[in-house]
Amino acid sequence: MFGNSDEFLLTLDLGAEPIEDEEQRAQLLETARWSQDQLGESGLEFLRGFEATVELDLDGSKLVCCHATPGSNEDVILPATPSDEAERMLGAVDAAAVAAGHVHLQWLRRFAPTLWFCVGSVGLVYEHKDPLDPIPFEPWSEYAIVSTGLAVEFRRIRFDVDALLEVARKRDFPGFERWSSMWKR
Amino acid sequence: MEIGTQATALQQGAAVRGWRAWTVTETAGGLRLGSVLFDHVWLPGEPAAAACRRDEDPFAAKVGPHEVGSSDCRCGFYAARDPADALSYLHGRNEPATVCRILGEVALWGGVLEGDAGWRATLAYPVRLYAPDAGLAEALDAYGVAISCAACESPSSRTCTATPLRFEPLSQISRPSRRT
Repeated sequence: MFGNSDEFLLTLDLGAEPIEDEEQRAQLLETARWSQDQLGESGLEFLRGFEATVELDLDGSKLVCCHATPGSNEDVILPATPSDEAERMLGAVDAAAVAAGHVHLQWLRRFAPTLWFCVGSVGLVYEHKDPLDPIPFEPWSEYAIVSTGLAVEFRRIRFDVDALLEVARKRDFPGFERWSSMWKR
Repeated sequence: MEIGTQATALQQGAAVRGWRAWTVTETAGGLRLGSVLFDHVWLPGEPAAAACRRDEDPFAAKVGPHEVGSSDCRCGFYAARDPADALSYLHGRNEPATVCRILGEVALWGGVLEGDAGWRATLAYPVRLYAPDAGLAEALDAYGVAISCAACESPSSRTCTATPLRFEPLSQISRPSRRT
């Protein structure tokens, strides 16, 4: 799926990303340029092949997969978002279920006739809070397993965060000290 | 959770009973009920009192000073009229300390707003819990409410529905709220 971070890497346009100040903007751009270097042209070409939506047929039930919503890779729908706001962002989606990511949370709700679920995050699990928890990132990879009949099962598996941090350190990830301190061990 | 459209305030002192989901979380004091959306633990034997946490949501539109539970905001404890509306909250990311999520019935009182799909209120306490197994039912016995589970159908079970309640929230909800 073509997410907002993928788009940012390709365009260096922050879009609707809330920016606190110019220092944060500069940090994000530095990280994006570092990421472009890591991916190389072949990796960026791979990103360009990502789809905005993918439709799957599960024994007659249509599942639409997207990054944020079927019409946007930036809209924010959270567990406490009022239904009328969520349904406005979802638009007239013709699907029994929508699977999304974007908000780094794992949750499920029903909006009108559509089952909405957020599969979570592979690698950057956190909650939306202001302020963030002092150490917000959980070293989990989260998945949703969807079976026919639209049964949704949430799973997660712990990954080796020390190995991740070691690779990032060796490759001079921008802002490494601060970022590495944000992971739970 | 949603309470639906055309929300109206109930008369002070009125109490309602609806459906909601909780997490069951390990704490230093034992297993406790918690909110599925917020870091909030429901303590045994005392009503849960609502507070507005809108400022914690970086995506929520700002709301000025308001009374907790008022129609100006969305703060308060929610309960659904139809248990189906509470069921989806049984699924979601659980913190490591969370054992599981459970469905139950909750009493709401204090300031209560009623909509076509449910209620939102300033004070709450569980009335009946539906535990997945007998061990969990026993662990939640501290709440002193009826607990049903498929594995403990016997009325002799001290945690099942036939158990006399040590704490009867409905006896409290007829009193005017101290918050008024």
